[in-house]
Amino acid sequence: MRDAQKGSASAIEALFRAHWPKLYRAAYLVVHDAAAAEDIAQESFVAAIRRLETFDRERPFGPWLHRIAVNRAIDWLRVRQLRTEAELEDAAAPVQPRDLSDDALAALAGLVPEHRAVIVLRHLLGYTPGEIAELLGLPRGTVNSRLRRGLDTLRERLPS
Amino acid sequence: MRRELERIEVPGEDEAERRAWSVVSRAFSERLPAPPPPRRRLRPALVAIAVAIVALVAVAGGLAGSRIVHSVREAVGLKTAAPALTRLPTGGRLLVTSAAGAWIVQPDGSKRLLGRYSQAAWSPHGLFVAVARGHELAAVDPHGMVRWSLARSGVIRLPRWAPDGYRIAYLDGATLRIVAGDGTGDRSFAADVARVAPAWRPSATHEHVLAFSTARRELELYAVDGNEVVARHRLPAVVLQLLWSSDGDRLVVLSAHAIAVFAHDGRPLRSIRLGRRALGAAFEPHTHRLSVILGGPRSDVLSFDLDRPGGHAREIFGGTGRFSGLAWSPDGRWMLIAWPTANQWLFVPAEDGRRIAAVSGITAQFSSGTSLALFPGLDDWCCVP
Repeated sequence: MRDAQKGSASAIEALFRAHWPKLYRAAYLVVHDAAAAEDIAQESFVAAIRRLETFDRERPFGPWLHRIAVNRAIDWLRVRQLRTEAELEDAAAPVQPRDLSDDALAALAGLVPEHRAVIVLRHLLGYTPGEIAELLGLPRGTVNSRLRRGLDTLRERLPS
Repeated sequence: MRRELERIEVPGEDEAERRAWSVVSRAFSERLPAPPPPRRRLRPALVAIAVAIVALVAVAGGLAGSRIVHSVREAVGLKTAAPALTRLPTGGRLLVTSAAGAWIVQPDGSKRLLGRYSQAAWSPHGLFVAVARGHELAAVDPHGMVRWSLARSGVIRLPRWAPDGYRIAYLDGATLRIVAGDGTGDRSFAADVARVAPAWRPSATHEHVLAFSTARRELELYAVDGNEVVARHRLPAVVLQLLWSSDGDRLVVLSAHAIAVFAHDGRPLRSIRLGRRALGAAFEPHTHRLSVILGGPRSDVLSFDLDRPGGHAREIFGGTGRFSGLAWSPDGRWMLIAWPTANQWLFVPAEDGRRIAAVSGITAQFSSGTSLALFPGLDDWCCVP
Protein backbone atom coordinates (compact mmCIF):
# COMPACT_ATOMS: atom_id res chain seq x y z
CA MET A 1 0.00 0.00 0.00
CA ARG A 2 2.83 2.35 0.83
CA ASP A 3 4.36 1.76 -2.62
CA ALA A 4 1.01 2.23 -4.33
CA GLN A 5 0.53 5.54 -2.56
CA LYS A 6 3.96 6.57 -3.82
CA GLY A 7 2.89 5.80 -7.39
CA SER A 8 4.25 2.31 -7.99
CA ALA A 9 2.38 0.73 -10.90
CA SER A 10 3.51 -2.77 -9.95
CA ALA A 11 2.19 -2.25 -6.43
CA ILE A 12 -1.23 -1.22 -7.66
CA GLU A 13 -1.28 -4.17 -10.04
CA ALA A 14 -0.46 -6.50 -7.16
CA LEU A 15 -3.31 -4.99 -5.15
CA PHE A 16 -5.65 -5.33 -8.12
CA ARG A 17 -4.74 -8.96 -8.84
CA ALA A 18 -5.04 -9.87 -5.17
CA HIS A 19 -8.46 -8.31 -4.67
CA TRP A 20 -10.23 -8.39 -8.04
CA PRO A 21 -11.41 -12.05 -8.12
CA LYS A 22 -13.19 -11.90 -4.78
CA LEU A 23 -14.44 -8.38 -5.35
CA TYR A 24 -16.01 -9.30 -8.68
CA ARG A 25 -17.43 -12.52 -7.26
CA ALA A 26 -18.87 -10.72 -4.26
CA ALA A 27 -20.47 -8.08 -6.47
CA TYR A 28 -21.87 -10.77 -8.76
CA LEU A 29 -23.32 -12.76 -5.87
CA VAL A 30 -25.07 -9.65 -4.58
CA VAL A 31 -26.41 -8.29 -7.89
CA HIS A 32 -26.60 -11.50 -10.01
CA ASP A 33 -25.74 -9.57 -13.16
CA ALA A 34 -22.27 -10.03 -14.64
CA ALA A 35 -22.15 -6.70 -16.48
CA ALA A 36 -23.33 -4.78 -13.43
CA ALA A 37 -20.90 -6.67 -11.19
CA GLU A 38 -18.04 -5.77 -13.51
CA ASP A 39 -19.04 -2.11 -13.46
CA ILE A 40 -19.47 -2.09 -9.69
CA ALA A 41 -16.14 -3.80 -8.99
CA GLN A 42 -14.28 -1.71 -11.57
CA GLU A 43 -15.77 1.59 -10.43
CA SER A 44 -15.07 0.68 -6.81
CA PHE A 45 -11.40 0.17 -7.66
CA VAL A 46 -11.27 3.47 -9.54
CA ALA A 47 -12.98 5.24 -6.62
CA ALA A 48 -10.49 3.66 -4.20
CA ILE A 49 -7.57 4.80 -6.35
CA ARG A 50 -8.91 8.34 -6.42
CA ARG A 51 -8.87 8.35 -2.62
CA LEU A 52 -5.58 6.53 -2.25
CA GLU A 53 -3.83 9.54 -0.71
CA THR A 54 -6.35 9.77 2.10
CA PHE A 55 -6.22 6.08 2.91
CA ASP A 56 -4.77 5.19 6.31
CA ARG A 57 -2.20 2.56 5.39
CA GLU A 58 -2.19 1.19 8.91
CA ARG A 59 -5.56 -0.30 8.04
CA PRO A 60 -6.14 -3.18 5.59
CA PHE A 61 -7.06 -2.29 2.02
CA GLY A 62 -9.56 -5.12 1.48
CA PRO A 63 -12.31 -4.03 3.88
CA TRP A 64 -12.12 -0.49 2.56
CA LEU A 65 -12.57 -1.71 -1.00
CA HIS A 66 -15.26 -4.22 -0.05
CA ARG A 67 -17.26 -1.56 1.76
CA ILE A 68 -17.29 0.61 -1.39
CA ALA A 69 -18.25 -2.30 -3.61
CA VAL A 70 -20.89 -3.89 -1.39
CA ASN A 71 -22.60 -0.58 -0.71
CA ARG A 72 -22.63 0.13 -4.44
CA ALA A 73 -24.02 -3.32 -5.13
CA ILE A 74 -26.81 -2.82 -2.59
CA ASP A 75 -27.60 0.59 -4.10
CA TRP A 76 -27.68 -0.95 -7.56
CA LEU A 77 -30.14 -3.60 -6.40
CA ARG A 78 -32.37 -1.10 -4.69
CA VAL A 79 -32.51 1.06 -7.77
CA ARG A 80 -33.19 -1.96 -9.90
CA GLN A 81 -36.04 -2.90 -7.60
CA LEU A 82 -37.35 0.64 -7.83
CA ARG A 83 -37.31 0.18 -11.56
CA THR A 84 -39.00 -3.18 -11.03
CA GLU A 85 -36.94 -4.88 -13.66
CA ALA A 86 -35.86 -7.78 -11.55
CA GLU A 87 -38.67 -10.15 -12.30
CA LEU A 88 -38.08 -10.64 -16.01
CA GLU A 89 -35.41 -12.91 -17.31
CA ASP A 90 -33.24 -12.16 -20.28
CA ALA A 91 -34.82 -14.11 -23.11
CA ALA A 92 -31.49 -14.37 -24.87
CA ALA A 93 -29.71 -16.08 -22.01
CA PRO A 94 -28.59 -19.57 -22.98
CA VAL A 95 -30.17 -22.45 -21.10
CA GLN A 96 -27.60 -24.41 -19.15
CA PRO A 97 -27.88 -27.60 -17.16
CA ARG A 98 -28.49 -26.96 -13.49
CA ASP A 99 -26.00 -28.05 -10.90
CA LEU A 100 -25.50 -27.37 -7.25
CA SER A 101 -23.98 -23.95 -7.85
CA ASP A 102 -27.07 -22.97 -9.86
CA ASP A 103 -29.21 -23.94 -6.88
CA ALA A 104 -27.05 -21.88 -4.57
CA LEU A 105 -27.24 -18.90 -6.90
CA ALA A 106 -30.99 -19.23 -7.23
CA ALA A 107 -31.41 -19.52 -3.47
CA LEU A 108 -29.23 -16.47 -2.96
CA ALA A 109 -31.30 -14.57 -5.50
CA GLY A 110 -34.36 -15.15 -3.34
CA LEU A 111 -32.92 -13.09 -0.49
CA VAL A 112 -33.48 -9.38 -0.09
CA PRO A 113 -30.38 -7.31 -1.05
CA GLU A 114 -29.42 -6.52 2.55
CA HIS A 115 -29.49 -10.20 3.56
CA ARG A 116 -27.62 -11.21 0.44
CA ALA A 117 -24.89 -8.67 1.14
CA VAL A 118 -24.25 -9.83 4.71
CA ILE A 119 -24.22 -13.48 3.62
CA VAL A 120 -21.61 -12.69 0.96
CA LEU A 121 -19.55 -10.60 3.35
CA ARG A 122 -19.69 -13.27 6.06
CA HIS A 123 -19.36 -16.47 4.07
CA LEU A 124 -17.44 -15.48 0.93
CA LEU A 125 -15.22 -12.68 2.20
CA GLY A 126 -14.92 -14.07 5.71
CA TYR A 127 -15.76 -11.00 7.78
CA THR A 128 -17.01 -11.36 11.33
CA PRO A 129 -20.43 -9.93 12.20
CA GLY A 130 -18.67 -7.13 14.06
CA GLU A 131 -16.59 -6.26 11.01
CA ILE A 132 -19.66 -6.36 8.77
CA ALA A 133 -21.45 -4.03 11.16
CA GLU A 134 -18.56 -1.61 10.88
CA LEU A 135 -18.32 -1.96 7.09
CA LEU A 136 -21.98 -1.31 6.47
CA GLY A 137 -22.54 1.13 9.31
CA LEU A 138 -25.12 -1.10 10.97
CA PRO A 139 -25.72 -2.22 14.58
CA ARG A 140 -24.19 -5.61 15.22
CA GLY A 141 -27.56 -7.01 16.24
CA THR A 142 -28.98 -6.07 12.85
CA VAL A 143 -26.14 -7.88 11.10
CA ASN A 144 -26.69 -10.96 13.24
CA SER A 145 -30.41 -11.04 12.58
CA ARG A 146 -29.89 -10.56 8.83
CA LEU A 147 -27.36 -13.37 8.82
CA ARG A 148 -29.67 -15.66 10.73
CA ARG A 149 -32.69 -14.93 8.56
CA GLY A 150 -30.66 -15.15 5.36
CA LEU A 151 -29.16 -18.51 6.32
CA ASP A 152 -32.54 -19.88 7.40
CA THR A 153 -33.98 -18.94 4.02
CA LEU A 154 -31.02 -20.46 2.19
CA ARG A 155 -31.30 -23.71 4.12
CA GLU A 156 -34.97 -23.98 3.24
CA ARG A 157 -34.25 -23.47 -0.44
CA LEU A 158 -31.05 -25.42 -0.90
CA PRO A 159 -31.25 -29.18 -1.42
CA SER A 160 -29.71 -30.98 1.52
CA MET B 1 -21.57 -22.15 2.80
CA ARG B 2 -18.27 -20.62 1.78
CA ARG B 3 -17.56 -23.60 -0.48
CA GLU B 4 -20.95 -23.18 -2.11
CA LEU B 5 -20.39 -19.48 -2.75
CA GLU B 6 -16.95 -20.16 -4.20
CA ARG B 7 -18.30 -22.90 -6.48
CA ILE B 8 -20.85 -20.64 -8.12
CA GLU B 9 -19.74 -19.99 -11.66
CA VAL B 10 -19.26 -16.30 -12.31
CA PRO B 11 -19.58 -15.53 -16.02
CA GLY B 12 -16.65 -14.05 -17.91
CA GLU B 13 -14.28 -13.73 -14.95
CA ASP B 14 -11.10 -13.54 -17.01
CA GLU B 15 -12.43 -11.08 -19.57
CA ALA B 16 -13.88 -8.91 -16.82
CA GLU B 17 -10.55 -8.86 -15.01
CA ARG B 18 -8.69 -7.94 -18.19
CA ARG B 19 -11.08 -5.11 -19.01
CA ALA B 20 -11.12 -3.83 -15.45
CA TRP B 21 -7.34 -3.85 -15.13
CA SER B 22 -7.07 -1.78 -18.28
CA VAL B 23 -9.38 0.85 -16.75
CA VAL B 24 -7.89 0.72 -13.27
CA SER B 25 -4.30 0.96 -14.47
CA ARG B 26 -5.13 3.99 -16.58
CA ALA B 27 -6.95 5.62 -13.71
CA PHE B 28 -3.89 4.99 -11.56
CA SER B 29 -1.38 6.23 -14.11
CA GLU B 30 -3.15 9.57 -14.50
CA ARG B 31 -3.41 10.06 -10.77
CA LEU B 32 -0.66 12.26 -9.41
CA PRO B 33 0.97 11.23 -6.13
CA ALA B 34 0.37 13.65 -3.30
CA PRO B 35 2.88 16.50 -3.46
CA PRO B 36 5.42 16.66 -0.66
CA PRO B 37 4.77 19.31 1.96
CA PRO B 38 6.36 22.70 1.15
CA ARG B 39 9.72 23.16 2.82
CA ARG B 40 9.67 26.88 3.00
CA ARG B 41 7.34 29.70 2.34
CA LEU B 42 7.53 31.12 -1.18
CA ARG B 43 8.04 34.79 -1.58
CA PRO B 44 4.88 36.64 -2.73
CA ALA B 45 6.58 37.84 -5.94
CA LEU B 46 7.42 34.25 -6.92
CA VAL B 47 3.87 33.16 -6.16
CA ALA B 48 2.50 35.91 -8.38
CA ILE B 49 4.80 34.87 -11.25
CA ALA B 50 3.83 31.22 -10.81
CA VAL B 51 0.13 32.10 -10.83
CA ALA B 52 0.62 34.13 -14.01
CA ILE B 53 2.44 31.23 -15.70
CA VAL B 54 -0.27 28.78 -14.68
CA ALA B 55 -2.93 31.16 -16.02
CA LEU B 56 -1.10 31.46 -19.35
CA VAL B 57 -0.72 27.72 -19.62
CA ALA B 58 -4.40 27.29 -18.82
CA VAL B 59 -5.39 29.71 -21.56
CA ALA B 60 -3.01 28.12 -24.05
CA GLY B 61 -4.39 24.75 -23.07
CA GLY B 62 -7.90 25.74 -24.10
CA LEU B 63 -7.99 23.39 -27.04
CA ALA B 64 -10.68 23.02 -29.58
CA GLY B 65 -12.94 20.02 -29.22
CA SER B 66 -11.27 17.96 -31.90
CA ARG B 67 -7.87 18.27 -30.27
CA ILE B 68 -9.17 17.55 -26.83
CA VAL B 69 -10.24 14.14 -28.05
CA HIS B 70 -6.64 13.00 -28.02
CA SER B 71 -5.72 14.66 -24.77
CA VAL B 72 -8.29 12.75 -22.75
CA ARG B 73 -8.19 9.43 -24.51
CA GLU B 74 -6.27 7.70 -21.77
CA ALA B 75 -7.81 9.59 -18.86
CA VAL B 76 -10.68 8.82 -16.50
CA GLY B 77 -12.49 12.13 -16.48
CA LEU B 78 -11.52 15.65 -17.42
CA LYS B 79 -9.39 17.37 -14.83
CA THR B 80 -10.87 20.74 -15.77
CA ALA B 81 -14.39 19.62 -14.87
CA ALA B 82 -16.61 22.12 -13.09
CA PRO B 83 -17.71 20.92 -9.64
CA ALA B 84 -21.41 21.52 -10.32
CA LEU B 85 -23.80 21.93 -13.20
CA THR B 86 -24.44 25.66 -13.32
CA ARG B 87 -25.82 25.91 -16.84
CA LEU B 88 -26.31 24.00 -20.08
CA PRO B 89 -24.11 25.20 -22.95
CA THR B 90 -27.14 25.81 -25.16
CA GLY B 91 -30.93 25.84 -25.02
CA GLY B 92 -33.34 23.04 -24.28
CA ARG B 93 -33.94 21.01 -21.16
CA LEU B 94 -32.60 17.67 -20.03
CA LEU B 95 -34.60 14.77 -18.72
CA VAL B 96 -32.67 12.64 -16.24
CA THR B 97 -33.65 9.63 -14.14
CA SER B 98 -31.82 8.85 -10.92
CA ALA B 99 -32.55 6.74 -7.86
CA ALA B 100 -34.45 9.75 -6.48
CA GLY B 101 -36.73 9.92 -9.51
CA ALA B 102 -37.15 11.84 -12.76
CA TRP B 103 -35.62 15.31 -13.07
CA ILE B 104 -35.80 18.20 -15.48
CA VAL B 105 -32.64 20.26 -15.86
CA GLN B 106 -33.22 23.82 -17.08
CA PRO B 107 -30.73 25.81 -19.23
CA ASP B 108 -29.57 27.71 -16.13
CA GLY B 109 -28.61 24.42 -14.49
CA SER B 110 -31.50 24.43 -12.02
CA LYS B 111 -33.13 21.07 -11.48
CA ARG B 112 -36.67 20.05 -10.62
CA LEU B 113 -37.54 16.63 -9.29
CA LEU B 114 -40.76 15.59 -11.02
CA GLY B 115 -41.41 12.71 -8.66
CA ARG B 116 -40.29 9.25 -7.79
CA TYR B 117 -40.55 7.88 -11.31
CA SER B 118 -38.21 5.33 -12.81
CA GLN B 119 -38.75 6.15 -16.50
CA ALA B 120 -39.52 9.36 -18.33
CA ALA B 121 -39.92 10.71 -21.87
CA TRP B 122 -40.67 14.14 -23.28
CA SER B 123 -43.80 15.04 -25.20
CA PRO B 124 -42.95 16.46 -28.66
CA HIS B 125 -42.58 20.11 -27.62
CA GLY B 126 -41.52 19.49 -24.06
CA LEU B 127 -44.88 20.58 -22.66
CA PHE B 128 -45.40 17.32 -20.79
CA VAL B 129 -43.46 14.30 -19.65
CA ALA B 130 -44.70 10.72 -19.80
CA VAL B 131 -43.50 9.01 -16.62
CA ALA B 132 -43.73 5.47 -15.29
CA ARG B 133 -43.23 3.74 -11.97
CA GLY B 134 -44.23 0.20 -11.20
CA HIS B 135 -47.64 -0.40 -12.73
CA GLU B 136 -48.48 3.26 -13.29
CA LEU B 137 -48.16 5.45 -16.37
CA ALA B 138 -48.77 9.19 -15.99
CA ALA B 139 -48.47 12.43 -17.90
CA VAL B 140 -47.07 15.26 -15.82
CA ASP B 141 -46.31 18.86 -16.66
CA PRO B 142 -42.77 20.22 -16.21
CA HIS B 143 -43.67 21.22 -12.64
CA GLY B 144 -44.50 17.63 -11.79
CA MET B 145 -48.29 18.11 -11.66
CA VAL B 146 -50.04 14.93 -12.75
CA ARG B 147 -52.47 15.52 -15.62
CA TRP B 148 -53.65 11.96 -15.90
CA SER B 149 -52.53 8.49 -14.94
CA LEU B 150 -53.49 4.91 -15.56
CA ALA B 151 -52.52 1.58 -14.09
CA ARG B 152 -51.92 -1.77 -15.75
CA SER B 153 -51.31 -5.26 -14.42
CA GLY B 154 -47.81 -5.54 -15.87
CA VAL B 155 -44.79 -3.40 -15.11
CA ILE B 156 -44.90 -0.28 -17.26
CA ARG B 157 -41.78 0.72 -19.13
CA LEU B 158 -40.38 2.82 -21.93
CA PRO B 159 -43.21 5.26 -22.73
CA ARG B 160 -42.65 7.13 -25.98
CA TRP B 161 -44.73 10.06 -27.20
CA ALA B 162 -45.69 10.24 -30.90
CA PRO B 163 -44.28 13.27 -32.79
CA ASP B 164 -47.68 15.01 -32.95
CA GLY B 165 -48.44 14.33 -29.29
CA TYR B 166 -51.64 12.36 -29.97
CA ARG B 167 -50.35 8.91 -29.04
CA ILE B 168 -48.11 7.35 -26.41
CA ALA B 169 -46.69 3.86 -26.92
CA TYR B 170 -45.44 1.96 -23.88
CA LEU B 171 -44.73 -1.55 -22.64
CA ASP B 172 -47.03 -3.24 -20.14
CA GLY B 173 -44.86 -6.23 -19.23
CA ALA B 174 -44.21 -7.80 -22.64
CA THR B 175 -47.28 -6.20 -24.23
CA LEU B 176 -47.04 -3.09 -26.37
CA ARG B 177 -49.92 -0.72 -25.65
CA ILE B 178 -50.93 2.62 -27.09
CA VAL B 179 -52.89 5.33 -25.33
CA ALA B 180 -54.02 8.74 -26.59
CA GLY B 181 -52.03 11.73 -25.40
CA ASP B 182 -54.90 12.75 -23.10
CA GLY B 183 -54.91 9.36 -21.37
CA THR B 184 -57.97 7.97 -23.14
CA GLY B 185 -58.44 5.02 -25.50
CA ASP B 186 -55.75 2.81 -24.00
CA ARG B 187 -55.49 -0.47 -25.90
CA SER B 188 -53.26 -3.46 -26.32
CA PHE B 189 -51.38 -3.38 -29.59
CA ALA B 190 -48.94 -6.30 -29.75
CA ALA B 191 -47.96 -9.16 -27.45
CA ASP B 192 -44.53 -10.65 -26.84
CA VAL B 193 -42.49 -7.60 -27.66
CA ALA B 194 -38.84 -7.16 -26.73
CA ARG B 195 -37.93 -4.81 -23.91
CA VAL B 196 -36.79 -2.08 -26.28
CA ALA B 197 -38.29 1.38 -26.50
CA PRO B 198 -40.72 1.60 -29.44
CA ALA B 199 -39.90 4.41 -31.88
CA TRP B 200 -42.42 6.64 -33.67
CA ARG B 201 -41.51 7.78 -37.17
CA PRO B 202 -41.18 11.58 -37.25
CA SER B 203 -43.66 13.07 -39.67
CA ALA B 204 -45.05 16.44 -40.64
CA THR B 205 -48.53 14.92 -40.87
CA HIS B 206 -50.57 13.10 -38.25
CA GLU B 207 -49.65 9.62 -39.45
CA HIS B 208 -48.66 7.27 -36.66
CA VAL B 209 -46.07 4.76 -37.78
CA LEU B 210 -44.38 2.83 -35.00
CA ALA B 211 -41.25 0.69 -35.09
CA PHE B 212 -40.87 -1.99 -32.43
CA SER B 213 -39.05 -5.25 -31.90
CA THR B 214 -40.74 -8.50 -31.00
CA ALA B 215 -39.41 -11.09 -28.59
CA ARG B 216 -38.79 -13.29 -31.65
CA ARG B 217 -36.22 -10.76 -32.90
CA GLU B 218 -38.42 -9.28 -35.57
CA LEU B 219 -38.56 -5.65 -36.51
CA GLU B 220 -42.09 -4.47 -37.21
CA LEU B 221 -43.04 -1.18 -38.75
CA TYR B 222 -46.73 -0.61 -38.20
CA ALA B 223 -49.19 2.05 -39.33
CA VAL B 224 -51.15 2.27 -36.09
CA ASP B 225 -54.30 4.08 -37.25
CA GLY B 226 -54.74 1.93 -40.36
CA ASN B 227 -53.80 -1.22 -38.45
CA GLU B 228 -51.44 -2.16 -41.24
CA VAL B 229 -48.01 -3.77 -41.27
CA VAL B 230 -45.68 -1.53 -43.27
CA ALA B 231 -42.65 -3.82 -43.01
CA ARG B 232 -41.48 -6.82 -41.04
CA HIS B 233 -37.94 -8.20 -40.93
CA ARG B 234 -36.23 -10.97 -39.07
CA LEU B 235 -33.26 -9.54 -37.18
CA PRO B 236 -29.98 -11.41 -36.72
CA ALA B 237 -29.32 -10.16 -33.20
CA VAL B 238 -31.02 -8.86 -30.09
CA VAL B 239 -32.02 -5.23 -30.54
CA LEU B 240 -30.56 -2.65 -28.19
CA GLN B 241 -32.21 0.44 -29.55
CA LEU B 242 -34.50 1.70 -32.32
CA LEU B 243 -33.91 5.21 -33.62
CA TRP B 244 -35.36 7.43 -36.33
CA SER B 245 -33.53 10.34 -37.92
CA SER B 246 -35.35 13.61 -37.23
CA ASP B 247 -36.66 13.78 -40.82
CA GLY B 248 -38.09 10.26 -40.57
CA ASP B 249 -36.09 9.05 -43.58
CA ARG B 250 -33.78 6.66 -41.74
CA LEU B 251 -34.56 3.99 -39.18
CA VAL B 252 -31.65 2.44 -37.31
CA VAL B 253 -31.73 -0.87 -35.50
CA LEU B 254 -28.78 -0.92 -33.15
CA SER B 255 -27.57 -4.27 -31.88
CA ALA B 256 -24.41 -5.12 -29.96
CA HIS B 257 -22.24 -5.47 -33.04
CA ALA B 258 -24.14 -3.91 -35.94
CA ILE B 259 -26.02 -0.87 -37.15
CA ALA B 260 -28.82 -1.91 -39.51
CA VAL B 261 -30.16 0.99 -41.55
CA PHE B 262 -33.66 1.03 -43.05
CA ALA B 263 -35.50 3.53 -45.25
CA HIS B 264 -38.64 5.37 -44.10
CA ASP B 265 -40.84 2.55 -45.46
CA GLY B 266 -38.80 -0.16 -43.77
CA ARG B 267 -36.68 -1.20 -46.76
CA PRO B 268 -33.27 -2.44 -45.62
CA LEU B 269 -30.53 -0.14 -46.89
CA ARG B 270 -27.28 -1.30 -45.33
CA SER B 271 -25.71 -2.88 -42.33
CA ILE B 272 -22.53 -1.68 -40.67
CA ARG B 273 -20.53 -4.17 -38.62
CA LEU B 274 -19.06 -2.87 -35.39
CA GLY B 275 -15.77 -4.25 -34.16
CA ARG B 276 -16.63 -3.43 -30.55
CA ARG B 277 -19.76 -3.68 -28.48
CA ALA B 278 -22.26 -0.87 -29.00
CA LEU B 279 -23.81 0.51 -25.82
CA GLY B 280 -26.12 3.20 -27.15
CA ALA B 281 -26.66 5.70 -29.92
CA ALA B 282 -28.35 8.97 -30.85
CA PHE B 283 -29.02 10.70 -34.15
CA GLU B 284 -27.41 14.06 -34.62
CA PRO B 285 -30.41 16.39 -35.15
CA HIS B 286 -31.33 17.28 -38.75
CA THR B 287 -28.76 14.86 -40.21
CA HIS B 288 -28.34 11.21 -41.09
CA ARG B 289 -25.29 10.97 -38.83
CA LEU B 290 -25.52 8.54 -35.95
CA SER B 291 -23.40 8.90 -32.83
CA VAL B 292 -22.65 5.51 -31.28
CA ILE B 293 -21.01 4.59 -27.97
CA LEU B 294 -18.59 1.68 -28.38
CA GLY B 295 -17.60 0.08 -25.10
CA GLY B 296 -14.73 -1.92 -23.68
CA PRO B 297 -12.01 -0.97 -21.23
CA ARG B 298 -12.17 2.34 -23.06
CA SER B 299 -15.35 3.86 -24.45
CA ASP B 300 -15.48 5.84 -27.66
CA VAL B 301 -18.18 7.84 -29.36
CA LEU B 302 -18.06 7.52 -33.14
CA SER B 303 -20.17 9.37 -35.66
CA PHE B 304 -21.36 7.29 -38.63
CA ASP B 305 -22.58 9.00 -41.77
CA LEU B 306 -25.36 6.61 -42.79
CA ASP B 307 -25.63 8.04 -46.29
CA ARG B 308 -22.08 7.05 -47.19
CA PRO B 309 -21.14 3.49 -48.10
CA GLY B 310 -19.71 1.66 -45.14
CA GLY B 311 -21.07 4.31 -42.84
CA HIS B 312 -17.84 6.38 -42.82
CA ALA B 313 -17.02 6.79 -39.13
CA ARG B 314 -15.42 9.77 -37.40
CA GLU B 315 -14.25 9.65 -33.83
CA ILE B 316 -15.79 12.27 -31.60
CA PHE B 317 -14.55 11.43 -28.15
CA GLY B 318 -12.86 8.63 -26.25
CA GLY B 319 -12.09 8.00 -22.60
CA THR B 320 -11.25 5.27 -20.15
CA GLY B 321 -14.09 3.31 -18.60
CA ARG B 322 -17.77 3.27 -19.45
CA PHE B 323 -20.01 5.81 -21.15
CA SER B 324 -23.61 5.10 -20.21
CA GLY B 325 -25.52 7.42 -22.50
CA LEU B 326 -25.49 10.31 -24.88
CA ALA B 327 -27.91 12.97 -26.03
CA TRP B 328 -27.71 15.73 -28.63
CA SER B 329 -28.91 19.24 -27.88
CA PRO B 330 -32.01 20.14 -29.93
CA ASP B 331 -29.98 22.62 -32.02
CA GLY B 332 -27.35 19.97 -32.80
CA ARG B 333 -24.52 22.10 -31.44
CA TRP B 334 -23.60 20.03 -28.37
CA MET B 335 -23.52 16.41 -27.46
CA LEU B 336 -23.81 15.31 -23.85
CA ILE B 337 -21.91 12.16 -22.88
CA ALA B 338 -22.65 10.48 -19.54
CA TRP B 339 -19.44 9.02 -18.07
CA PRO B 340 -20.14 7.04 -14.87
CA THR B 341 -16.54 5.85 -14.45
CA ALA B 342 -15.47 9.47 -14.08
CA ASN B 343 -18.74 10.54 -12.41
CA GLN B 344 -18.88 13.28 -15.04
CA TRP B 345 -21.03 14.69 -17.79
CA LEU B 346 -19.21 16.00 -20.83
CA PHE B 347 -20.68 18.58 -23.15
CA VAL B 348 -18.82 18.04 -26.42
CA PRO B 349 -19.14 20.72 -29.13
CA ALA B 350 -20.17 19.67 -32.61
CA GLU B 351 -17.81 22.19 -34.16
CA ASP B 352 -14.15 22.86 -33.60
CA GLY B 353 -13.21 26.05 -31.84
CA ARG B 354 -15.06 25.38 -28.62
CA ARG B 355 -13.87 23.56 -25.57
CA ILE B 356 -15.39 20.48 -24.07
CA ALA B 357 -17.26 21.47 -20.92
CA ALA B 358 -17.15 18.84 -18.18
CA VAL B 359 -19.12 18.67 -14.96
CA SER B 360 -18.10 16.38 -12.12
CA GLY B 361 -19.95 14.98 -9.11
CA ILE B 362 -23.02 14.11 -11.17
CA THR B 363 -24.21 11.29 -8.89
CA ALA B 364 -24.47 13.52 -5.83
CA GLN B 365 -26.26 16.24 -7.78
CA PHE B 366 -29.13 13.89 -8.59
CA SER B 367 -29.34 11.92 -5.34
CA SER B 368 -31.58 14.30 -3.41
CA GLY B 369 -33.78 12.59 -0.85
CA THR B 370 -32.15 9.20 -1.20
CA SER B 371 -29.06 7.58 0.16
CA LEU B 372 -28.64 5.62 -3.06
CA ALA B 373 -25.55 6.79 -4.84
CA LEU B 374 -25.74 5.61 -8.43
CA PHE B 375 -24.98 7.51 -11.60
CA PRO B 376 -28.20 8.86 -13.11
CA GLY B 377 -29.59 7.81 -16.47
CA LEU B 378 -29.71 10.36 -19.26
CA ASP B 379 -33.10 10.23 -20.98
CA ASP B 380 -33.28 13.06 -23.48
CA TRP B 381 -32.42 16.66 -24.27
CA CYS B 382 -35.53 18.34 -25.44
CA CYS B 383 -36.72 21.38 -27.23
CA VAL B 384 -37.41 24.80 -25.78
CA PRO B 385 -41.17 24.95 -25.14
